[in-house]
Amino acid sequence: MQNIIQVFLGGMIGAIIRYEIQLVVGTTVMLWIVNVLGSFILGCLNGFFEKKESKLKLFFTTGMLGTFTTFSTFSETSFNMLLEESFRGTAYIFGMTLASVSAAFIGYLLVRRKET
Amino acid sequence: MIWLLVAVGGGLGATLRYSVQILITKMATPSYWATVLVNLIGSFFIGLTHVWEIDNKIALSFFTIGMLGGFTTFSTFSFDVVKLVNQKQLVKSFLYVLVNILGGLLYFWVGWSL
Repeated sequence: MQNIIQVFLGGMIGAIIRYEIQLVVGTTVMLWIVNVLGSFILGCLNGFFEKKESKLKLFFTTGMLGTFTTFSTFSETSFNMLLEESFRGTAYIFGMTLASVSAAFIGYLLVRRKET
Repeated sequence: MIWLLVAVGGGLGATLRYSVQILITKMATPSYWATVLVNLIGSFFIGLTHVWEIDNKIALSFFTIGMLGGFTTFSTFSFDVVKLVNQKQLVKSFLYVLVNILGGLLYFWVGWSL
């Protein structure tokens, strides 16, 4: 039960921050910010929690970061872009995936190295 | 007040995603399958919302931005790839990316065409 509450509360915060960013910069830019930044932070957190067990892990990882980033809106935006201009859509999909995975990797390696 | 709906939707979406994750790991299946599952289902439903033609801002904020946004996740997907690459499973990590992305597009399209 305590785990569910952690995930729920973390999810609330993640969703609010994502929504506020979307209001300021619009959907397309919002996706870049939340997905690349969120992947980076999750990488850092996972590197950190690898060495240090914490009761708040679920709050931050599954709850907050999991909700801060989003895949459904990414699918929607990619699909619409592919319909409009297939080259741009493909570049967008590859770009965001590569940037997010790299960001997660860099964050993970950075923090893990510091901890050891 | 909309931010509150987004927040509650996000909390519910996250909890559902967590439940899927627990179910999948209980079945002794690798947890990255849970990520695929939530991302494909979430993409399907966001496609469906076009059919419903929800122009009700309140429902839209709660369901799409809050719940579906929270149910699906990009950061866990990114880190699943990192884990697979770290385990030197390069082919698997490449296939995993393809399944998520093409699957997300396909399921969105299915929902969108219904």
